[in-house]
Order: sequence, then C-alpha cells, then structure tokens
Amino acid sequence: MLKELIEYLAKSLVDNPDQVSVNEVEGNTVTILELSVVPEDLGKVIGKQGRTAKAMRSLLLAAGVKARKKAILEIVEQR
Amino acid sequence: MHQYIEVEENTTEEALEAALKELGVSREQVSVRVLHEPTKGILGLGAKLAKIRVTLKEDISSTPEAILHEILSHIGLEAEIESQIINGSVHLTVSTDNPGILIGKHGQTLNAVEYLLNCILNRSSLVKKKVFVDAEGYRERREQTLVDLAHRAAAKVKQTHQEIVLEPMPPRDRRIIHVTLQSDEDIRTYSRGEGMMRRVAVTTREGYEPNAKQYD
Repeated sequence: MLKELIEYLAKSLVDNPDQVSVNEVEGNTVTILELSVVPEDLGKVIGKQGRTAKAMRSLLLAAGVKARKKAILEIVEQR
Repeated sequence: MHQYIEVEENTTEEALEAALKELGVSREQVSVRVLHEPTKGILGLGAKLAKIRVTLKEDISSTPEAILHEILSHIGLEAEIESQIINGSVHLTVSTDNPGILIGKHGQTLNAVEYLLNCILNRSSLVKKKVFVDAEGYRERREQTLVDLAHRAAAKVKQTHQEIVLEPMPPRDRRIIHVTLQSDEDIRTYSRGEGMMRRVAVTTREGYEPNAKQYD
C-alpha cells in the first residue's frame, strides 16, 4: 500500500517517528497523501534541495505502477 | 546474515586495526575471533601471520539488507538481496521478478532507493559508509551506455566544432563522462547548471573557457 510506504520511509527518516502521520485523500483518479511531521523533522523528509522528498516521490511512482494506482505526496507541517 | 571480514597481519592488534579501518567502524561495533595467532617459525621458515575474523555486531533489523528488503516489500516487490563487501563498502545486489519497476527510467528509482537507504542507515546504524545498490547488472550497463554517449558526443564536437550540452545527470553519471573523455587531447568537458539540473558540456580544446562554469 502506498500510504504504508510513505509512512515507513518517513518514520525511518525522522527523529520523532511517533509524530508522523499520513492522511489519505482519495480522489477520482489520484490519491493525495499528506505527510505530516513536526517542524524539526521537516528537513529530514524534504532533504537538501528537496532531494529526499523527490526520492520518496520516485518510490511512490514505482509502487503506483505495481499497484496500478496513482498517488501524490504532499508534505505538511504539523500544528 | 552477519557480515564479517578476515584479515591477516603480523600481530592480532594490527589485524584488528586494519579490519576496523576497512569496515569504517569502531571497536565496540564488532566482535573479534582470532583464527590463529602469529607464529615466528624457525629461521623464518613456517612463519605465519595472525589471522582474525571480525564480525559486525548489529541489530538484525537495521542491517542494510533488512532495511532494503523492507523498502522493496512496501513498493510491492518480492526480492532476494545479496550482500558483498567490495573495497570496504557494502554492495547489495537485488534480484526481483520485476527489475523494470525497481530500476526506473535512467535508474531513477534505483538511485532513489539507494539514496533513501543511505539516509535511513546514516540515522539508525553505526556504519557511516555508503551502501551501493544494484539490480540485474544495471550499473555496469549504464556505465557502458554513458561511455558510448561520451564518445559519440566527442566525435560530433570534433566534426562540427560546436559545444554539446548533455541532458542533466546525477554526479556519478557525469563523472563517467568526464573520466571517459579525460584522455582525449582535443576535447574538454565541464559541468554547468546547479543541483539536479547540472549537465556535462563537451567542447573543443579551443572553445574551452576555464571560467565558463561560473557564468552559465
């Protein structure tokens, strides 16, 4: 599942894994995955020049091909 | 599953030191077994070096293989992973029923997997050395493709005397282009652009301005 993939990656990357949550917003053609982390961990999931976020999106695309689904990753700051 | 290396040196202490350097870890992170003590022999005959086996002590769930396996299973890929230590770095080779998905366009997915694996390892593991990931001999094939591309670009530049700027590539791919054309006397290469848009330019010796990369 695409949501679990993002959840697993995010939790493995951050310092506060228990504060990671992924909200799934189902659309007609695509699913939006809203990854939320605490402000201190934002850099960990985004990375230098967005490299980590880009890598996660690459994996999401690959997993989507396999699962015949399309998902978009959005990163939000936890309030 | 455990990774170990065997080292021979004059003394067991020297062997341990060499092994730790090779693995890039400290003493607390390994267990050591002396396979045999050094023997002097008689008049230099029958002398033997000390031989030790050094095993990485690590939580099984945070080994590179285990994490890679977990990532791949989340993508939906059943995979078998083989681990090898080459020049002190862990190289993981993945066999899967669907290598196309794992590799992706120009290795994009494979690179993303490798990058994220290293990010996770740098956080959770004691080993700070880079881990390499390959599938179906992809890295070697990609290198050959890039070497061919470099030669074709060089030939065209020589014919037309016009600079060629290749498509954006990650550092390791750019490096292959530079190294391939390094020995070509008539050709110069340099990189231009920043970050993920950085590209290699192939140009003639005459057309090369050393400072060009700063003004692009």
